[in-house]
Amino acid sequence: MRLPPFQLHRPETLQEAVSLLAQHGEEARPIAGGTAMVPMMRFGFLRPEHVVSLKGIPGLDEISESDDGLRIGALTPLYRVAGSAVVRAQWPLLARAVGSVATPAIRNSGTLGGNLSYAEAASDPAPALLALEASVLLTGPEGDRTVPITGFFQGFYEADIRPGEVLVEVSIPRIPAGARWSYLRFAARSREDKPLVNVAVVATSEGVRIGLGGVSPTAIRARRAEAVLQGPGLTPQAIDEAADAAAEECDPLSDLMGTAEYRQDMVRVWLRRALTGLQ
Amino acid sequence: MPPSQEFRIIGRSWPRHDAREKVLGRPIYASDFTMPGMLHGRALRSLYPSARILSIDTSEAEKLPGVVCVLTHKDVPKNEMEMALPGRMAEATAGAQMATQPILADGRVRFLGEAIALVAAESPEAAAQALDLIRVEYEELPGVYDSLEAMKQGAPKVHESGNILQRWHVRKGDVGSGFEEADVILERTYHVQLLDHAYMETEGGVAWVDPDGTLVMKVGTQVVEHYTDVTEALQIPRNKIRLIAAPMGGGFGGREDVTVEILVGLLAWHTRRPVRLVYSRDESILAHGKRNAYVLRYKMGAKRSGEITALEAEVVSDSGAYAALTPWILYYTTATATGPYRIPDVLVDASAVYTNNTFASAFRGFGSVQACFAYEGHMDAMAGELGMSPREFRERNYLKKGDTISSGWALESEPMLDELTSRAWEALGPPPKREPGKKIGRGMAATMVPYGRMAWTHDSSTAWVGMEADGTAMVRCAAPDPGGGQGSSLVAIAAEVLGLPMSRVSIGPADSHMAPRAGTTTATRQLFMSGNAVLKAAREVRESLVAQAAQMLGAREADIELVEGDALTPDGRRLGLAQVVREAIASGRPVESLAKYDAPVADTIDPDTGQGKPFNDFTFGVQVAEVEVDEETGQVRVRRFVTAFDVGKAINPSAVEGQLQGGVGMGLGDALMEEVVIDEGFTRNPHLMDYKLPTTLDTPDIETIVLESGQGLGPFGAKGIGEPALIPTRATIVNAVSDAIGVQLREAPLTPERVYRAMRSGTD
Ligand SMILES: Cc1cc2nc3c(=O)[nH]c(=O)nc-3n(C[C@H](O)[C@H](O)[C@H](O)COP(=O)(O)OP(=O)(O)OC[C@H]3O[C@@H](n4cnc5c(N)ncnc54)[C@H](O)[C@@H]3O)c2cc1C
Repeated sequence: MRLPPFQLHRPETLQEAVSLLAQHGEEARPIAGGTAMVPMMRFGFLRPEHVVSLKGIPGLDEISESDDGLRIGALTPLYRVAGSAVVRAQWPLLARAVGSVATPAIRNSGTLGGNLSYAEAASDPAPALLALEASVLLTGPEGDRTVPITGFFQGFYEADIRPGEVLVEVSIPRIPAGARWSYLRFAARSREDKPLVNVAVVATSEGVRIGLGGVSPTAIRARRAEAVLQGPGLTPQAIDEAADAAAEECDPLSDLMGTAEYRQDMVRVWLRRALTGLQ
Repeated sequence: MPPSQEFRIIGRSWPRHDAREKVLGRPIYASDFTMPGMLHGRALRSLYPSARILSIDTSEAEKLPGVVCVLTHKDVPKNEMEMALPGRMAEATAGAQMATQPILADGRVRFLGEAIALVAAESPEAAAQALDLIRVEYEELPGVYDSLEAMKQGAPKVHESGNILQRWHVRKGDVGSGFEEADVILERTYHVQLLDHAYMETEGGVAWVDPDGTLVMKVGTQVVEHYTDVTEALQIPRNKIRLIAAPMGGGFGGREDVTVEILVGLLAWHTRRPVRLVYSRDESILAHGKRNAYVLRYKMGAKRSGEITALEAEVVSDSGAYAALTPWILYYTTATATGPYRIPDVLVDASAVYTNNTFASAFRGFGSVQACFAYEGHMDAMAGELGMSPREFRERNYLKKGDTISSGWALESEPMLDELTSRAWEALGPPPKREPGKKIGRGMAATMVPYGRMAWTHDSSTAWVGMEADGTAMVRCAAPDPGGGQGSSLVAIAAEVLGLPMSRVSIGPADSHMAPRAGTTTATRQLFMSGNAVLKAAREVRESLVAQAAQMLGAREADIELVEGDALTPDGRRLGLAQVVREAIASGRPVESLAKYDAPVADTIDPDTGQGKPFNDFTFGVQVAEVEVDEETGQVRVRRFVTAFDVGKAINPSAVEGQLQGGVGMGLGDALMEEVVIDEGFTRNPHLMDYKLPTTLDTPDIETIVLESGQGLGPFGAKGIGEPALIPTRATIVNAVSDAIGVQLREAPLTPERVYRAMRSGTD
């Protein structure tokens, strides 16, 4: 399958990108690394007439640390997020999750913003960012907008990006000292496969936050499982109950990787493993 | 060559003559090749698995700027490709009808992705757009998508002649009395899924018409002789075409059938311009022959002592919509259905059936993987019933030289299975300790796989070897090298015999106009057949050089040795071969030779009983593996793998190791993750996003054990190893997993969910 014809725009500023997107409306689409977009266009799922490349816009691929936490530009390639010394030292969960995406080739071209905008349920970074309570900054014709990541994934391959908007940056608050974490992914076929289920956990003195991927139309926070753990903490019994609660609250699909029932069983297994294996 | 002389090249590991260029990415594959003024070809493919074509309207596409031609079935001089059932083979098919396949669909499509029209355009974009503009009106027809359903009365007919494509039978002894003698009888059914070759390079080629009117094509193919299919379709004389096998990104049987040859040939012939046509990945998965899916029902009887008395097997192969090579693949399955075991009474009934699935055809193993999966699964199941270890039960029944196989023919070489088995298990070492959360299992599989064609086919290969006046040598032999190193082995054989370093010997391309006919690079036959042809030609050249050198050095011919480009006498005098060659040419002595090697020939087997000599020889091997299964998820990890084969003689040991390891890697995909999923005729994963292949991270360390019995029919006693290396892997891994979980698995791929369910249900 060949790419359908389209016009490629290479804006040099964010403003220019936003106005191009606004101008062409439904007919336009931003592109970052293209690792998701190109296959989607090949398969005919997307047929934008105008493709607006964000890659030439300076300043969108920076990683910076401040007192508030971490900011990662949307255009930062996945391999740079995973390899960043700051991320590895302070947000090891994120480094692990992002470093687990597919293959080096995909991580070299694919960007963090592209991964989140793609809003695939089987995303490695998404559950980690959910558990880390990240937020995203969007800019569009109406100005800037900050959206907590918990509200960003809206449906099957659907993110809260309004027409003309571009995802600019991901912010991640600091993790309290003493917090523990875990990231596990279960690839059912080859090792470069997307996760059939993945689990990210952050446990602080205030409670446990759980992100799940692959088992609902979007990556989700497992709020009910978190609630189960609120009182008793991480006792073996509470962990079992949390695992059951997570299996209940997810809403998996059947596909070629596995059936919905199997996914539900696997949520139980992998959440239990994540909760018992916190680092 | 004097018998005293040690090999200088053969049996030592050397880098292939073309390794460096390949690693540097230099070879020009057919898909990369360009010509001035080249057009881009594309095929329009059916959107339904079973439909009538009511009309095809190409007028809009033709009007599109940049489009040079649009072709449909009306433009193909002979629109039927015939399934080659050459005369000598036809005798054994008991009146099977000649199977045909339209080149471009005419009124009917029988599988999703069947070619309907062709476009050639100035740019790939125009070609793609033109496809969108061709209007095809379909009327959907009922289809049949399951081989067992297709055999039933009243099933939708894929072809007018009915859905049974081919039957083969074996009748050896009397299974009735064999089962009476048995203490234990066990019957089980095994399933093998549809598989794609998934080679790195999809099918592709470039064709053009030379000024003298010759149609030339450069195609990634395992079979140079396919030019005859092109001349048939175009109805042009066979000497008006030249086919060159380009370097290939993998073959594995996927380029054993005609792929793009006729399509790209038609476009070049019509436009009189160079045309390139390369399949996209989805096209490759949808529209070229897959590995046949099988259902195999096995019933075996054995005595308490472990002696097998009888085997009855019913085998059904899904051919998909067309015959391609399925009838012959089914023959291989039939002939090897008993595996490497001594079984007095055998009955096999095998059928190949048309369905509206993607057509299936050659795939490394050619029917042997399917048979091996069933007989090796069944050996394990039977051993369980008998309370014996799988190894002991096999050892009790292994074939020995002189034993008769299922066709009643007595084995002429020693299978060495006992040695292979003990070496393989020894390498695996003592059983591991238990580990919490994991079920650990071990499994084995043994196999016998023919190399070379069926013994009644009068197979042959020809090769030319010649010296140049500077002391270098050239091999000409139209044997395509899909990456197995066939070319390098031929260079090594010539270099060995001529006493030249490998760097002084070159091999030309597999070009139908420039190189003598070598036959197909299939059936694990090239080293055996073309290796012998090159050996023969090189020996003839050597004789002439030795005679010349003896004369020049005033020595006896028997005393002359050719070493590193020199002719030597025992007392240390030497002459450069360049000088010898020049002198030979000046004195009219030949410095080149064209030699033909003929495989041994036997009578055609009896089609009703399968009795006779099926193949000239077999390669035998044993594999063992240790796996672990995650108790909670069903995920399998192969921890250790040992593959042991008798290769007769390793021409290049490191290449043999490569073949052995590659076979296991490929079998791992078959066992654990690969499957083309077709749902009511619609392929759900025509892309590598959902057709997953093993990566290096999925592949365990693979230990290889190579025996060199010297019994092979190939040069220096070599047997074939290309296909055999793969055959037992699927069975080995599945048997090991079954051992781990205590439930016999009889289908694959072993996705975690499949294993999980089996563990849960606890029954088989
Ligand atoms: C073979 C393969 C395997 C994969 N395996 C995994 C895996 O194991 N785990 C995993 O998490 N992911 C996996 N992915 C997905 C991969 O992570 C994403 O494709 C990648 O991160 C997307 O980033 P990109 O920059 O290439 O996005 P693009 O392909 O350029 O864009 C993706 C989508 O996001 C939109 N978009 C991109 N950037 C922005 C922006 N700044 N603002 C607004 N919209 C934007 C585009 O319009 C498009 O709709 C896999 C992908 C492939 C092809």
